[in-house]
Amino acid sequence: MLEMRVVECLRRSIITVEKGMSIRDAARVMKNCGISGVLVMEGSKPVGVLSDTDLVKALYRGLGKDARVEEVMSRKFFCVDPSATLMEAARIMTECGVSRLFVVRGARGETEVREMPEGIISVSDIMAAVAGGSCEGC
Amino acid sequence: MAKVKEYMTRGVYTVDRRATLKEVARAIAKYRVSGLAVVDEEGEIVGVVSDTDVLRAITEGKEPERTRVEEVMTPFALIIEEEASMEEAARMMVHEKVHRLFVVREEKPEHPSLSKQYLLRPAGVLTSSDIVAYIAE
Repeated sequence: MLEMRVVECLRRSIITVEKGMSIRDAARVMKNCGISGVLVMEGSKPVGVLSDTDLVKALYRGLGKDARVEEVMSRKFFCVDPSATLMEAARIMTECGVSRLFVVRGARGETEVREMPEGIISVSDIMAAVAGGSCEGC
Repeated sequence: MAKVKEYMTRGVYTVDRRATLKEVARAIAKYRVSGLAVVDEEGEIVGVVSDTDVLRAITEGKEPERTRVEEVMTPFALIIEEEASMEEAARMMVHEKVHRLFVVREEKPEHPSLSKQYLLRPAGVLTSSDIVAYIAE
């Protein structure tokens, strides 16, 4: 069930926002796409990740909705190699306390955001695999 | 100030305490949620299980078809009053490191982690996605 490779299940469409965007607009993107995290770009270069947890923290810190994405984003992301198994991805998620991994060749765990990932694998993809023996990806 | 009751999801998805992790994973995938309330034979809530609880159990070597949810659930839940502000909900999520709060109509108890009486009739759930929806406005 979890012997499948990440590359067989990853989602290749990565939703991005610009680092200068307001958190209100970024939240709209996340809400409209039904996702809990987006990749943050500076032009064509990825520079960070914005998650729903970052937005909860922003509200807690009293930042207004016009605060810029770069003020609240994380500059590191959590990665898995495309050839890893879903079980290995599940281990990394558990170790790192995250519910989504970016798929980057040769990377494992917390990594500086430098290159465009091949895709994303999330805890919901692994739940689908556990539930039905397949995954929802692609 | 925006209130929890304006953004919460009414109703709570539940799973029987004797269900297996595989059944939990099916329910999470079917309802497209990240967690469920765990109920006993009388339908009373006895805990919470999230997708990450299932993930952790599997990485620890537990068999999804043989492990019961009550072995891996969190045997309590965090609650917030529906009249509370979204800022208060954000504060509780950050402090307690959770993404989900059960919403009740009663007065908030002194301690947030809770006694059964407050969980018997939750009005709904507030998740980090609801905070995103609030910021999106």
